[in-house]
Amino acid sequence: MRREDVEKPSEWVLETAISALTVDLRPVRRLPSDLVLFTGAMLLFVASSILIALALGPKGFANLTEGQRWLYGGTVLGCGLLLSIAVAPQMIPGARRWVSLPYTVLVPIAAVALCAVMIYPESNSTQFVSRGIPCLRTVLLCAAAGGVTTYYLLRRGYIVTPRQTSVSSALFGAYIGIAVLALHCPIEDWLHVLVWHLGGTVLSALATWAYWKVRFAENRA
Amino acid sequence: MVATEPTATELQPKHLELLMQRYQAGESEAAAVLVHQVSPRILQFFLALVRNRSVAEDLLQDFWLRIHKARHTYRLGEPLWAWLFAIARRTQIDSYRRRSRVSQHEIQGEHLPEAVSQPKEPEGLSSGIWDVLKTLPPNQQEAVLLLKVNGLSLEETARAAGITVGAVKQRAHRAFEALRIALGRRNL
Repeated sequence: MRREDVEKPSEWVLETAISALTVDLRPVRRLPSDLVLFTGAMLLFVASSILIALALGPKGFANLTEGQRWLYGGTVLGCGLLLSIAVAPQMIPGARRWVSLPYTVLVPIAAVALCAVMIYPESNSTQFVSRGIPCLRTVLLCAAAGGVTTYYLLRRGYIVTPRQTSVSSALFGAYIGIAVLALHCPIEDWLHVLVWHLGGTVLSALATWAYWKVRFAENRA
Repeated sequence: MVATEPTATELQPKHLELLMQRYQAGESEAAAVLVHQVSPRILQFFLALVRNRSVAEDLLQDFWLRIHKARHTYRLGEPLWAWLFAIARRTQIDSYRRRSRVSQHEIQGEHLPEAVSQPKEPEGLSSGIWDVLKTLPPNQQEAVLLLKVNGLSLEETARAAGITVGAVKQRAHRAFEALRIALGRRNL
């Protein structure tokens, strides 16, 4: 490395930066380790899912057999864990990305879809739309409320990729909705789960992505 | 504070991590030393991307303000340069968007003053390579700058860019392939 070739910043630039940094400089408390952040996100996922499902009534879970409960519950918890691992590092610049965004979208959808087909092999198309709308509404409401809350919690750190962070947050919120419906929704139809439950997660991710797309376009205009 | 040239030992990650720790603990002296030791490398990164010294120095100041806001997010033991370049990268992206917005509303004068001084070529890249590098997509330029000019590892580059190591390898491979073809045409 030829040190004499390196462009050096002007002295006044350095002095201005130093005075900005040192004026009223106070000690700060560092963010905790990845493990603590993942656990926190997972606790938020489990606690909010159970609380909302209890408020709505856990009718769906009561209809399942012991084995089906373990399968559905385990799958949804696994998705929650994956999303927690994807969401938590978004608040730290230069943190390791354990899971990339496409996997965060595709893996949970595939897992829940497969689980729904195994648990509810039958499909009944009567009142398909009218019975589906309340489930879609639940997922979208959870995605909006959970996504905004998660994003604001992540802002306690420093977000360097706002679009990726908000899409992950919306997905995290949407999967809280999926967990709520796993406990609450009594409709035993794999197509219903696929379209109205999982459709809500795709819609919320797309809506968030579109929001940032429009925002960037407005900034350029 | 008297500006001193950072020595090779001072630029070692462990030394900088300790300075960062002291800065987080509220020590003004550590903050000043950190600014002197980190700034040249970050300025080099900005210059390579914007090719304008005054813009690069503005970016450097903005960068330090962001570092100050984000200082609690650095955790001891994590790669410091990846953390610093992640924030530098964000600073440059935000500034680029802001400048694009402003430039669309500006009316250009007929005669522009000549630039006072042109920045040197980024260290480690010859003039011919730099001309070709400028034609690459921004994410590929960034991969080359972080890996080859700033000497970050694949893991650190991935962390700084907020992507996986596989994605960095792919961007770097495409960039090197484009450079190889373009330089072959120029017989460099």
